Amino acid sequence: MNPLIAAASVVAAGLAVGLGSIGPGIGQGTAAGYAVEGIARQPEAEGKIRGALLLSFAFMESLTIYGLVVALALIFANPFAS
Amino acid sequence: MNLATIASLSVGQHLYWRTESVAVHGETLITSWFILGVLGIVSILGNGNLKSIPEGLQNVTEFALEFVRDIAKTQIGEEEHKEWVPFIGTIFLFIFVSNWSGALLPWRVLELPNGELGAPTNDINTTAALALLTSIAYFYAGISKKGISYFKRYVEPAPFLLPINVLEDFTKPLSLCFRLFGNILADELVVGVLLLLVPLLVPVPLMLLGLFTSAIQALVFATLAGAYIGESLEDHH
Amino acid sequence: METALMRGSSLSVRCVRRYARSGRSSVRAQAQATSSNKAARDGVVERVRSKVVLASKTVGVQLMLALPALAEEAEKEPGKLFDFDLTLPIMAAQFLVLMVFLDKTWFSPVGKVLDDRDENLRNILSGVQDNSGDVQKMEDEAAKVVSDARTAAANLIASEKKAAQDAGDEKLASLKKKLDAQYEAASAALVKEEEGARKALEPEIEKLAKQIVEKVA
Repeated sequence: MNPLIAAASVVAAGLAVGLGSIGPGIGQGTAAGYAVEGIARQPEAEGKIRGALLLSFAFMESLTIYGLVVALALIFANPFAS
Repeated sequence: MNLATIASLSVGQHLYWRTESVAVHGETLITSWFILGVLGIVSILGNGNLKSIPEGLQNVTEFALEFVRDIAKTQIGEEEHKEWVPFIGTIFLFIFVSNWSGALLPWRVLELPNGELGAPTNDINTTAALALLTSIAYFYAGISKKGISYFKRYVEPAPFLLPINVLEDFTKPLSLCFRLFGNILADELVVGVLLLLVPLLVPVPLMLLGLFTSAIQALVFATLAGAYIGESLEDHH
Repeated sequence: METALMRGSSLSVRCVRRYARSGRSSVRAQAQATSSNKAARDGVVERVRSKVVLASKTVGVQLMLALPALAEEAEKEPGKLFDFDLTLPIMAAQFLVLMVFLDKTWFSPVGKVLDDRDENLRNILSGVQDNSGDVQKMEDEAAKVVSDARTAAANLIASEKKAAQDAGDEKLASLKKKLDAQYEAASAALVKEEEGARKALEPEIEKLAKQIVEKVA
C-alpha cells in the first residue's frame, strides 16, 4: 500500500476512535450521575432507574462504536489499498 | 508462524462458497444454521407438552415470552402489540442466542480454510438483513394501518422537517445495523487481541463484559424495533 | 497468487468432478444395460456410494494437506469488512422462516397458556369477591332473624304477663268484693246485735239506776 495512504489511514483510525469516545464518555458520565442521584432520592425506584440507565448507555455506546467501525474499516478493509 | 499471521486474526476474511456468479459467506451461514437449530430444539423440547403449571424448560420459554411481550407492550402500546410479538421476539432471541454463542462457544476449535467461525452477527450481512427487515416492518405497519396517509408524518409537526424525516428513514436502519455489528465485532476483536497478548485469566473480565453488552445489544435492537413500529402506528403527535 | 490451499482445493475439486463424472456415466451405462433388475440396481448404488466415499476422502486429505500451508501466508488479499453479497437475502429469508416457525411452536402456544392462566386467576378472584358479598348478605339475614325472634319472644312474654296480671286482678277484685260483702254483712249484724243488746240492757240499766237512786235517797 502506498505509504502515504497507510500513514494517513492509521492516523485517521486513531483519531476516529479517540475523538469519537469523548462525547459518549461525557454523556454516559452525566447520565450515570443523574441516575445515582435518582436512586439516592428514591431507593425503591432503583429497578426502573437501572433499566433506563442501561438502555441509555447502549444508545450512547453506539456512537463510539460508529467511530470504532470506521477505524476498523481503515485498518483492515481499507478501500484505498491497491 | 510469524506474528503478522496471528495478529491479522481474520478481520474481514470470509469463507467464500462460490457458485458460478455468486458468493456467500460460508462461516456466517454455518453458525446461523447452528443458531436456528438451537432455537428450534429449545422451542420443540420446551413447548412440546404444555401444562397449566409449568415445569422444566416451559418455565424458560414462558419467561422469555413474558419478557418479549413486555418489550412489545411498552413500545407499541396496549392494543396493537399482540401481532408484533413474533417479530420482536424472534429478533431478540436470534440476536441474543447468536451473540452469546459467539462469546461462549469455542468456535475457533473448528478450523476453516479461510476466515473463522464466530457469531453470525459479526457479519455485516446479518445485521444489515435484520435492520432492513425492521425497516420494512415499520413501513408495513404504518401503511397497513393508515394507508397512504401514513406519508403525512413526513411533514409533521412542521413541513420544513421533511428532509430530516426522510434522512431519518435512512439513518434508522443504518444505525441499527452498525450498532449491532460494531459491538459484536469489537467484542470479538478485543477478546482476540487480549488472547494473543495474555492468554490466561486476563481476558476473562472483558469476556464477561462482552457477554453483558451483547445481551444488552439484543435488548436494544428489539426495543428500538418496537419503538419504530410503535412510532409508525401511533395516531398523531 | 496461487497458494497451496487454492492449488490443493482446485486439485481436489477436479478429482471430485472426475469421479462424479465417471460415476454418473457408469451409472447410466449400468442402468441402460439392466433396466429393471433390482440386484443390478443395488450394485449400481453400491458403486456410486463407494466412488463418493473415495472422492470425499480425497477432498479431506487435500484439505488437511493444505491447512499447514496457511502458516506460510504473510499476505492475504485485504479482507473486506463491508462485503455485501448474497448472504444478506439468505439471512433475511432464514430469519423469516425462523419467525414463522417460532410463532407456530413457541409464541402462540405459550401465549395461549399464559392468557388462559390469566383468565382462570381472574375468574377465581372475581368468584371470591362474589362469595364475600353473599356471606355478608347471609350474615345480615341471620342477624335479622335473631332480632325478629327476640322481639317475638319479648312480645309473647309481655302479653302473657299482661293476661296473667289481668286474671289475677280480676280474682282479687271478686275476692275483695266478697270479702267486702261479708264485712258489710258482719258489721250490719254486729250493729243489729249491738242495738238488740242495748235495747235489752236499757230496762236493766233503768232498773239499776232506780235502785241506785233509792238506795242513795
